[in-house]
Amino acid sequence: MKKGLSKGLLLATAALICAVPSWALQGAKVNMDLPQLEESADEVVEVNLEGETLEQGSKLLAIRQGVSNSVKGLLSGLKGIYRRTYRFGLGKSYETSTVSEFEQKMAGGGWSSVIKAEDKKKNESVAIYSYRKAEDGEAGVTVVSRDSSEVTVVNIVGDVDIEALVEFGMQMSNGPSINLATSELENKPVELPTPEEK
Amino acid sequence: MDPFERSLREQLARREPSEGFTANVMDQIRALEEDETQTVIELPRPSLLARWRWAAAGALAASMALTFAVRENSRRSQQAAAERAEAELAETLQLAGFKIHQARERVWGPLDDAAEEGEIK
Repeated sequence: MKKGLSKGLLLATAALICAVPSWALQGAKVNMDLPQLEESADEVVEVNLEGETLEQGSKLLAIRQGVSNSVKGLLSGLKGIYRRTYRFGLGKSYETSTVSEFEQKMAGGGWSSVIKAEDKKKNESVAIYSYRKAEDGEAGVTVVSRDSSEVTVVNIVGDVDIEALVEFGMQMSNGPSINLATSELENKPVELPTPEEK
Repeated sequence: MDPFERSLREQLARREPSEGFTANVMDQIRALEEDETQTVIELPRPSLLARWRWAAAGALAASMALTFAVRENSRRSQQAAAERAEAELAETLQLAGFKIHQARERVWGPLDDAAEEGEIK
Protein backbone atom coordinates (compact mmCIF):
# COMPACT_ATOMS: atom_id res chain seq x y z
CA MET A 1 0.00 0.00 0.00
CA LYS A 2 2.69 2.45 0.98
CA LYS A 3 4.72 1.60 -2.13
CA GLY A 4 1.68 2.17 -4.31
CA LEU A 5 1.03 5.53 -2.62
CA SER A 6 4.59 6.74 -3.07
CA LYS A 7 4.55 5.64 -6.72
CA GLY A 8 1.31 7.48 -7.28
CA LEU A 9 2.73 10.56 -5.62
CA LEU A 10 5.77 10.44 -7.84
CA LEU A 11 3.65 10.08 -10.95
CA ALA A 12 1.40 12.94 -9.91
CA THR A 13 4.40 15.18 -9.28
CA ALA A 14 5.90 14.24 -12.64
CA ALA A 15 2.59 14.99 -14.37
CA LEU A 16 2.43 18.36 -12.66
CA ILE A 17 5.91 19.25 -13.75
CA CYS A 18 5.16 18.21 -17.34
CA ALA A 19 1.97 20.24 -17.32
CA VAL A 20 3.86 23.44 -16.56
CA PRO A 21 4.55 25.26 -19.83
CA SER A 22 8.08 24.78 -21.05
CA TRP A 23 8.31 28.54 -21.53
CA ALA A 24 9.12 29.84 -18.13
CA LEU A 25 9.80 33.18 -16.57
CA GLN A 26 12.64 33.54 -14.16
CA GLY A 27 11.62 36.84 -12.67
CA ALA A 28 12.85 39.66 -14.82
CA LYS A 29 14.75 37.28 -17.08
CA VAL A 30 12.63 36.02 -19.95
CA ASN A 31 13.14 32.86 -21.93
CA MET A 32 13.05 34.33 -25.41
CA ASP A 33 13.83 31.22 -27.39
CA LEU A 34 11.04 30.76 -29.93
CA PRO A 35 11.70 27.43 -31.65
CA GLN A 36 8.95 27.97 -34.22
CA LEU A 37 10.63 31.14 -35.45
CA GLU A 38 14.11 29.71 -35.19
CA GLU A 39 13.22 26.82 -37.47
CA SER A 40 11.94 29.01 -40.28
CA ALA A 41 14.29 32.00 -39.88
CA ASP A 42 17.14 32.53 -42.29
CA GLU A 43 19.23 34.24 -39.67
CA VAL A 44 19.13 34.22 -35.90
CA VAL A 45 21.04 36.71 -33.76
CA GLU A 46 21.49 35.64 -30.17
CA VAL A 47 23.03 37.78 -27.45
CA ASN A 48 23.37 36.69 -23.83
CA LEU A 49 25.33 39.03 -21.62
CA GLU A 50 25.44 38.53 -17.88
CA GLY A 51 27.89 38.14 -15.04
CA GLU A 52 31.53 38.85 -15.71
CA THR A 53 31.06 39.20 -19.48
CA LEU A 54 28.48 41.93 -19.00
CA GLU A 55 30.63 43.63 -16.41
CA GLN A 56 33.66 43.72 -18.71
CA GLY A 57 31.61 45.00 -21.62
CA SER A 58 29.99 47.66 -19.45
CA LYS A 59 33.34 48.86 -18.15
CA LEU A 60 34.72 49.21 -21.66
CA LEU A 61 31.61 50.99 -22.92
CA ALA A 62 31.52 53.37 -19.95
CA ILE A 63 34.97 54.73 -20.72
CA ARG A 64 34.21 55.50 -24.37
CA GLN A 65 33.97 59.11 -25.38
CA GLY A 66 30.52 60.54 -25.78
CA VAL A 67 28.91 58.31 -23.15
CA SER A 68 26.91 60.52 -20.81
CA ASN A 69 26.67 60.12 -17.04
CA SER A 70 23.09 58.94 -17.30
CA VAL A 71 24.12 56.17 -19.69
CA LYS A 72 26.96 55.25 -17.35
CA GLY A 73 24.39 55.01 -14.59
CA LEU A 74 22.29 52.78 -16.83
CA LEU A 75 25.27 50.50 -17.45
CA SER A 76 26.04 50.18 -13.76
CA GLY A 77 22.50 48.97 -12.99
CA LEU A 78 22.44 46.17 -15.56
CA LYS A 79 22.36 42.55 -14.47
CA GLY A 80 21.64 40.87 -17.77
CA ILE A 81 21.05 41.71 -21.42
CA TYR A 82 19.48 39.20 -23.77
CA ARG A 83 18.46 39.55 -27.38
CA ARG A 84 16.99 37.36 -30.06
CA THR A 85 16.54 38.55 -33.61
CA TYR A 86 14.93 36.28 -36.18
CA ARG A 87 15.32 37.44 -39.77
CA PHE A 88 13.37 36.09 -42.69
CA GLY A 89 14.44 36.41 -46.29
CA LEU A 90 12.36 37.50 -49.26
CA GLY A 91 9.32 35.37 -49.75
CA LYS A 92 9.49 33.91 -46.28
CA SER A 93 7.04 34.63 -43.52
CA TYR A 94 6.32 33.60 -39.97
CA GLU A 95 3.28 33.12 -37.83
CA THR A 96 2.48 36.40 -36.09
CA SER A 97 0.46 34.36 -33.60
CA THR A 98 3.78 33.08 -32.23
CA VAL A 99 4.73 36.62 -31.27
CA SER A 100 1.24 37.35 -29.94
CA GLU A 101 1.34 34.27 -27.72
CA PHE A 102 4.72 35.32 -26.42
CA GLU A 103 3.38 38.79 -25.59
CA GLN A 104 0.38 37.28 -23.83
CA LYS A 105 2.67 35.19 -21.67
CA MET A 106 4.60 38.33 -20.83
CA ALA A 107 1.40 39.96 -19.64
CA GLY A 108 0.50 36.91 -17.54
CA GLY A 109 3.94 36.56 -16.00
CA GLY A 110 4.04 39.75 -13.97
CA TRP A 111 5.06 42.03 -16.80
CA SER A 112 3.19 45.27 -17.35
CA SER A 113 2.63 46.63 -20.83
CA VAL A 114 4.05 50.14 -21.00
CA ILE A 115 3.60 50.98 -24.69
CA LYS A 116 2.28 49.10 -27.64
CA ALA A 117 2.33 50.61 -31.10
CA GLU A 118 1.05 48.71 -34.08
CA ASP A 119 0.79 49.51 -37.76
CA LYS A 120 -1.51 46.95 -39.32
CA LYS A 121 -1.00 48.25 -42.84
CA LYS A 122 2.74 47.72 -42.65
CA ASN A 123 2.35 44.69 -40.40
CA GLU A 124 4.67 46.17 -37.79
CA SER A 125 4.44 46.47 -34.05
CA VAL A 126 6.52 47.42 -31.06
CA ALA A 127 5.63 46.60 -27.47
CA ILE A 128 7.49 47.54 -24.32
CA TYR A 129 7.00 45.67 -21.06
CA SER A 130 8.19 46.53 -17.60
CA TYR A 131 8.75 44.25 -14.62
CA ARG A 132 9.27 45.14 -11.02
CA LYS A 133 9.10 42.96 -7.95
CA ALA A 134 8.58 44.96 -4.80
CA GLU A 135 9.91 42.28 -2.43
CA ASP A 136 13.45 42.15 -3.71
CA GLY A 137 13.53 45.08 -6.11
CA GLU A 138 14.09 42.86 -9.13
CA ALA A 139 13.30 44.82 -12.27
CA GLY A 140 13.55 44.59 -16.01
CA VAL A 141 12.40 45.86 -19.39
CA THR A 142 11.53 43.85 -22.47
CA VAL A 143 11.06 45.18 -25.97
CA VAL A 144 9.25 43.09 -28.56
CA SER A 145 9.25 44.35 -32.11
CA ARG A 146 8.30 42.76 -35.37
CA ASP A 147 7.77 43.53 -39.00
CA SER A 148 7.27 41.45 -42.11
CA SER A 149 10.87 40.27 -42.20
CA GLU A 150 12.13 40.38 -38.64
CA VAL A 151 11.23 39.68 -35.06
CA THR A 152 13.37 41.13 -32.28
CA VAL A 153 13.08 40.62 -28.56
CA VAL A 154 15.36 42.45 -26.15
CA ASN A 155 15.24 41.61 -22.46
CA ILE A 156 17.13 43.83 -20.03
CA VAL A 157 17.39 42.71 -16.43
CA GLY A 158 18.18 45.30 -13.82
CA ASP A 159 17.11 48.74 -12.77
CA VAL A 160 16.72 50.29 -16.20
CA ASP A 161 16.62 54.04 -16.67
CA ILE A 162 14.31 54.28 -19.68
CA GLU A 163 15.29 57.86 -20.44
CA ALA A 164 18.97 56.98 -20.48
CA LEU A 165 18.16 54.01 -22.68
CA VAL A 166 16.26 56.22 -25.12
CA GLU A 167 19.09 58.74 -25.04
CA PHE A 168 21.56 56.01 -25.93
CA GLY A 169 19.29 54.82 -28.72
CA MET A 170 18.96 58.33 -30.11
CA GLN A 171 22.72 58.64 -30.35
CA MET A 172 22.51 56.06 -33.11
CA SER A 173 19.58 57.75 -34.80
CA ASN A 174 21.57 60.96 -35.17
CA GLY A 175 24.11 59.12 -37.26
CA PRO A 176 23.28 55.96 -39.14
CA SER A 177 19.55 55.58 -39.57
CA ILE A 178 17.54 52.75 -38.19
CA ASN A 179 13.88 52.31 -38.84
CA LEU A 180 11.27 50.87 -36.56
CA ALA A 181 10.97 47.58 -38.29
CA THR A 182 14.48 46.41 -38.70
CA SER A 183 17.78 46.54 -36.96
CA GLU A 184 19.77 46.77 -40.18
CA LEU A 185 21.88 49.92 -40.17
CA GLU A 186 21.85 52.15 -43.24
CA ASN A 187 24.46 54.81 -43.64
CA LYS A 188 22.95 58.02 -44.82
CA PRO A 189 25.08 60.23 -47.11
CA VAL A 190 26.02 63.46 -45.43
CA GLU A 191 24.39 66.44 -47.14
CA LEU A 192 26.53 69.54 -46.99
CA PRO A 193 24.74 72.89 -47.29
CA THR A 194 25.18 74.64 -50.61
CA PRO A 195 26.58 78.18 -50.63
CA GLU A 196 23.12 79.49 -51.49
CA GLU A 197 21.56 77.93 -48.42
CA LYS A 198 24.23 79.45 -46.21
CA MET B 1 144.28 47.65 -27.81
CA ASP B 2 143.62 48.42 -24.26
CA PRO B 3 143.12 45.80 -21.61
CA PHE B 4 139.40 46.51 -21.37
CA GLU B 5 138.86 45.99 -25.03
CA ARG B 6 140.97 42.89 -25.01
CA SER B 7 138.93 41.49 -22.14
CA LEU B 8 135.73 42.27 -23.94
CA ARG B 9 136.86 40.50 -27.10
CA GLU B 10 137.81 37.47 -25.08
CA GLN B 11 134.47 37.39 -23.35
CA LEU B 12 132.44 37.77 -26.54
CA ALA B 13 134.58 35.37 -28.56
CA ARG B 14 132.73 32.42 -30.07
CA ARG B 15 132.85 29.32 -28.09
CA GLU B 16 132.00 25.97 -29.50
CA PRO B 17 129.02 24.31 -27.74
CA SER B 18 129.73 21.37 -25.57
CA GLU B 19 129.17 17.87 -26.81
CA GLY B 20 125.57 16.87 -26.88
CA PHE B 21 124.35 20.43 -26.49
CA THR B 22 122.09 20.24 -29.54
CA ALA B 23 120.67 16.89 -28.45
CA ASN B 24 120.08 18.27 -24.99
CA VAL B 25 118.12 21.24 -26.34
CA MET B 26 116.03 19.02 -28.63
CA ASP B 27 115.25 16.72 -25.74
CA GLN B 28 114.07 19.63 -23.69
CA ILE B 29 111.86 20.82 -26.53
CA ARG B 30 110.33 17.40 -26.94
CA ALA B 31 109.71 17.21 -23.23
CA LEU B 32 107.91 20.56 -23.27
CA GLU B 33 105.70 19.45 -26.17
CA GLU B 34 104.79 16.25 -24.36
CA ASP B 35 103.87 18.20 -21.28
CA GLU B 36 101.53 20.44 -23.26
CA THR B 37 99.87 17.45 -24.84
CA GLN B 38 99.53 15.78 -21.49
CA THR B 39 98.12 18.95 -20.09
CA VAL B 40 95.44 19.03 -22.79
CA ILE B 41 94.59 15.42 -22.33
CA GLU B 42 94.46 15.65 -18.60
CA LEU B 43 91.97 18.57 -18.36
CA PRO B 44 89.04 17.37 -16.14
CA ARG B 45 85.56 16.93 -17.82
CA PRO B 46 82.65 19.15 -16.69
CA SER B 47 81.08 17.54 -13.71
CA LEU B 48 77.69 15.91 -13.89
CA LEU B 49 76.37 18.49 -11.47
CA ALA B 50 77.47 21.37 -13.68
CA ARG B 51 75.77 19.79 -16.69
CA TRP B 52 72.54 19.33 -14.74
CA ARG B 53 72.72 22.93 -13.63
CA TRP B 54 72.87 24.12 -17.19
CA ALA B 55 70.01 21.84 -18.17
CA ALA B 56 67.90 23.08 -15.26
CA ALA B 57 68.62 26.71 -16.13
CA GLY B 58 67.59 26.05 -19.72
CA ALA B 59 64.40 24.31 -18.65
CA LEU B 60 63.55 27.14 -16.28
CA ALA B 61 64.05 29.74 -18.97
CA ALA B 62 61.92 27.72 -21.39
CA SER B 63 59.10 27.30 -18.87
CA MET B 64 59.15 31.00 -18.04
CA ALA B 65 58.93 31.87 -21.71
CA LEU B 66 56.08 29.41 -22.16
CA THR B 67 54.21 30.78 -19.13
CA PHE B 68 54.57 34.29 -20.42
CA ALA B 69 53.32 33.28 -23.85
CA VAL B 70 50.30 31.47 -22.38
CA ARG B 71 49.43 34.40 -20.12
CA GLU B 72 49.78 36.88 -22.95
CA ASN B 73 47.54 34.75 -25.15
CA SER B 74 44.98 34.50 -22.35
CA ARG B 75 45.08 38.26 -21.80
CA ARG B 76 44.52 38.91 -25.48
CA SER B 77 41.64 36.44 -25.57
CA GLN B 78 40.03 38.14 -22.57
CA GLN B 79 40.52 41.52 -24.18
CA ALA B 80 38.92 40.32 -27.40
CA ALA B 81 36.00 38.78 -25.48
CA ALA B 82 35.47 42.00 -23.54
CA GLU B 83 35.47 44.03 -26.76
CA ARG B 84 32.97 41.66 -28.35
CA ALA B 85 30.77 41.97 -25.24
CA GLU B 86 31.05 45.75 -25.42
CA ALA B 87 30.00 45.80 -29.08
CA GLU B 88 27.03 43.50 -28.46
CA LEU B 89 26.02 45.49 -25.40
CA ALA B 90 26.15 48.81 -27.24
CA GLU B 91 24.21 47.50 -30.22
CA THR B 92 21.52 45.86 -28.10
CA LEU B 93 21.04 48.87 -25.82
CA GLN B 94 20.89 51.27 -28.74
CA LEU B 95 18.44 49.04 -30.53
CA ALA B 96 16.16 48.84 -27.49
CA GLY B 97 16.43 52.56 -26.81
CA PHE B 98 15.68 53.51 -30.37
CA LYS B 99 12.69 51.21 -30.60
CA ILE B 100 11.28 52.64 -27.37
CA HIS B 101 11.73 56.13 -28.77
CA GLN B 102 10.00 55.25 -32.02
CA ALA B 103 7.15 53.54 -30.15
CA ARG B 104 6.69 56.68 -28.08
CA GLU B 105 6.64 58.82 -31.19
CA ARG B 106 4.04 56.58 -32.76
CA VAL B 107 1.85 56.76 -29.69
CA TRP B 108 2.34 60.37 -28.66
CA GLY B 109 3.79 61.89 -31.77
CA PRO B 110 7.09 63.76 -31.93
CA LEU B 111 7.53 65.72 -28.72
CA ASP B 112 8.46 68.94 -30.63
CA ASP B 113 5.25 68.91 -32.64
CA ALA B 114 3.15 68.15 -29.58
CA ALA B 115 4.73 71.01 -27.68
CA GLU B 116 3.99 73.44 -30.47
CA GLU B 117 0.38 72.40 -30.59
CA GLY B 118 0.12 72.35 -26.82
CA GLU B 119 -1.08 68.79 -26.87
CA ILE B 120 1.49 67.04 -24.72
CA LYS B 121 -0.14 64.00 -23.19
